[in-house]
Amino acid sequence: MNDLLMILTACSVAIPASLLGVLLVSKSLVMVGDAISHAVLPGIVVAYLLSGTKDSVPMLFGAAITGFLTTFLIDFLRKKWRIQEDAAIGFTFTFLFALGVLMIAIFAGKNSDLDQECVLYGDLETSILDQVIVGSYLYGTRAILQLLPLTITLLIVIIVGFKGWKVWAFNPQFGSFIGIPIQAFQLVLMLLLSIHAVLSFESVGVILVVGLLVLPAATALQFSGTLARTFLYSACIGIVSCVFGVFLGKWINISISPLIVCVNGLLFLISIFVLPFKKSIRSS
Amino acid sequence: MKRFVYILICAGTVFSCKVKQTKENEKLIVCSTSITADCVRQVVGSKLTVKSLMGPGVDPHTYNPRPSDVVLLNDARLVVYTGFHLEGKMAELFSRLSERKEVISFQLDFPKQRILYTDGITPDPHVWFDTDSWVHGMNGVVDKLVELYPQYELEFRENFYRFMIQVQQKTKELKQKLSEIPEKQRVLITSHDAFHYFGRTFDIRVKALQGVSTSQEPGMRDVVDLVDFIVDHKVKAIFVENSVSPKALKSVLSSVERRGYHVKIGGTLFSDALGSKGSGADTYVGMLTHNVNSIKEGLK
Repeated sequence: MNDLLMILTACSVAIPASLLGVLLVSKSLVMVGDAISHAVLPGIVVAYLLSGTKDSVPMLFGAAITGFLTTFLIDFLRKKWRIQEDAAIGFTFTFLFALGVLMIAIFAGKNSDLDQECVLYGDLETSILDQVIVGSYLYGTRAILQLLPLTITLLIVIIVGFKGWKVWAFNPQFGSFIGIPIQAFQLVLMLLLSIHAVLSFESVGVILVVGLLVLPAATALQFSGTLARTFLYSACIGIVSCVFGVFLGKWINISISPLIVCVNGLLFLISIFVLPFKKSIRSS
Repeated sequence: MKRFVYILICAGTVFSCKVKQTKENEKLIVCSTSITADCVRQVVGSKLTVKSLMGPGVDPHTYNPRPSDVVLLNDARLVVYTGFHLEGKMAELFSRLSERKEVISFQLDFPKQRILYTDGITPDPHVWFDTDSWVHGMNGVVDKLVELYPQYELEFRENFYRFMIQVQQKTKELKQKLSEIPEKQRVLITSHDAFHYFGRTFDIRVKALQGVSTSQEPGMRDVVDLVDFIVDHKVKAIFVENSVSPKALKSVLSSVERRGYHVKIGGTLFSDALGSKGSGADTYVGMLTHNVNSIKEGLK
């Protein structure tokens, strides 16, 4: 029972991350994803200070706004001031993140619920214990119930706009030529990304969430040809890493969230080494 | 729309599951630190299982929950913790748990006028060294235990009474022991500021390198001040703590040496956690005795 709950909680973070990751990796937007997951921090802190709670609704607004702000700031620096893209991203997210850390240190005070370590590394153990029980019936952890709607929305967005995403990722010029709003696709992705960053920052933290975004998708891209398969494989790899992470964590009795990212990293390495074999088998 | 709500409710019932306590979990009490665990154990005896999240020698200020803690806290019938923000970020976890579980802290019945404040507002969390108030603070915990297990009421109350007398007698005895050290030499220097209550209870002057929580690193100024103090007052010994790294204190030691004065390390004190089994400091009373003996030995 406990194991299942741990795995489900971890998966509720990992599945949407690995789906979003596919879009990021195939369009080489990984650094932007990294930037957004860090840059939502000041948004979270402002929302926390204004509302005084860690309730998700004000936090989501704060994060969505900073998410958009980040994308615009990066674009602005790049296009208007002709700063190269990696420098623009690097500037934007480190600056916003540092701002967030400072805000925690100054305003949130010593005894507040927000602390830097939690924001950075997250704490899956605590979010597993944060269970929703109504009338002696257990409905799951708060993380699951918060991230489930996002996962469903994400799935709908991906399935409904599948062709659009394909064009957006691989041939945007053609897309704008036939009238697909490429910019809108990008904005939707950034919005979903910032929402995911907010909902999961307590469980996995901003540093590790990047690992969940990038690694399953990168592994899946190693051995799948089509976009649809990449989505499927990526989600599966996310789930597998959660299962392994939870059992390893219970076995060695150490923090689960860094373990999940480690398992993902290992799977990626394995995929790199195994792939040449597979190719040589196919060609022979 | 109506149909949609029905579907949601049905799905909810299918995917939810009933929370129930198994028979052995019914008797499981989980405490945060080894000190709280021992005090609760003294009361419940062998009737219930008492487990602590933080083992011997673990620093509670910077503790992060581990997977095994998740299982323990989830299964526990009652969760007991110290309070006063001793458990750092775990405090939030406990307050969230209290929405769905029986959770109680030693802070609840701790006499308010006995609390020491570090900077006017933040209470010093090392309250167990004020032995009388600490035992008084246990009242709330004992009441909760009796409420949850009314069948053992007589036994719990009797054990608690016995424990109270034992602690009172021991405190008197240890106070007597420490008062044999000449007053000028009666200075206790440790790595983190955990001994203010101890100093008040046992009448000894207290100084430390770090603040009340181990999460703050000592600054240059703190080290210099402490070195000056040791040299000026000709302090004979300084003490390391079992749950704190002795690194910073060692740097004080070498600085003192450079000033041409010798101070020794007077042994290990148990501040935030008890010792391991067989060390003699694996119970609350044993820990107090060990500390007083080491201090006396060091400052003699």
